[in-house]
Amino acid sequence: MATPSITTKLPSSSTALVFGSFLYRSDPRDIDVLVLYDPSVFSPADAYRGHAPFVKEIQCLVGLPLDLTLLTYDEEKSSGFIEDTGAVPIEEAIRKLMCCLRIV
Amino acid sequence: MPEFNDWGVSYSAISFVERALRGHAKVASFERTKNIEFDIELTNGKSIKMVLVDEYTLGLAAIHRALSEFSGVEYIVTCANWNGYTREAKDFGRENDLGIFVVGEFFGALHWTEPKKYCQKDKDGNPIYYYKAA
Repeated sequence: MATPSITTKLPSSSTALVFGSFLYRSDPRDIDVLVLYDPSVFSPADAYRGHAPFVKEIQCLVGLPLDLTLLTYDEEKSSGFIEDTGAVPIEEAIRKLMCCLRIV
Repeated sequence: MPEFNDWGVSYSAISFVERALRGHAKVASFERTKNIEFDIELTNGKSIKMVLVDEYTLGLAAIHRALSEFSGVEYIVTCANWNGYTREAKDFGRENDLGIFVVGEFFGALHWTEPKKYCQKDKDGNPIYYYKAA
């Protein structure tokens, strides 16, 4: 059986990753999220609004303030953001958190 | 005053910019409004509107968000010189008469007659941009 998705409000054309202290601190103050989006689906002017339900969902899920970086797929490619920050897929990051909480 | 605002700019970053503006030779006066918006009067009589953000990589979406939230903004500056901007963001600024800078560049730009066109140069005269680059 397929594992249910943790994030249901992420637009299917977008990709979400986590970077920063949430990945390695036991008591992170916030969660840094990178969302890659397709500008033919959301224009840069609409990108924040288009991902607002997803942001709310993640904030509720982790109970922390969310610091959002929105880049087009091309901007990520040219900036090397993922490689630079070691960002990991959001589901992987949140599953790790949930496993830790269960242990505690 | 809250430590942070909607854009996640720390009070220490805001204070740093205020101190730098107070001591800048080309700044006659400034007023900080809406927490991170600066209305700056230059000694040449011109006035400019700058918004300070804290984006590790300033991209197109953040620029559009700043333009929609801060009417009339001409300069979008990301604090800390380890921050940067995407090539697409800088190009958008050039095409739309906006100054897209990291904070150190911005203070250099204020020395120029046309600050938006400012570009740092290395010792050989080659342009230096704070692109986040793969």
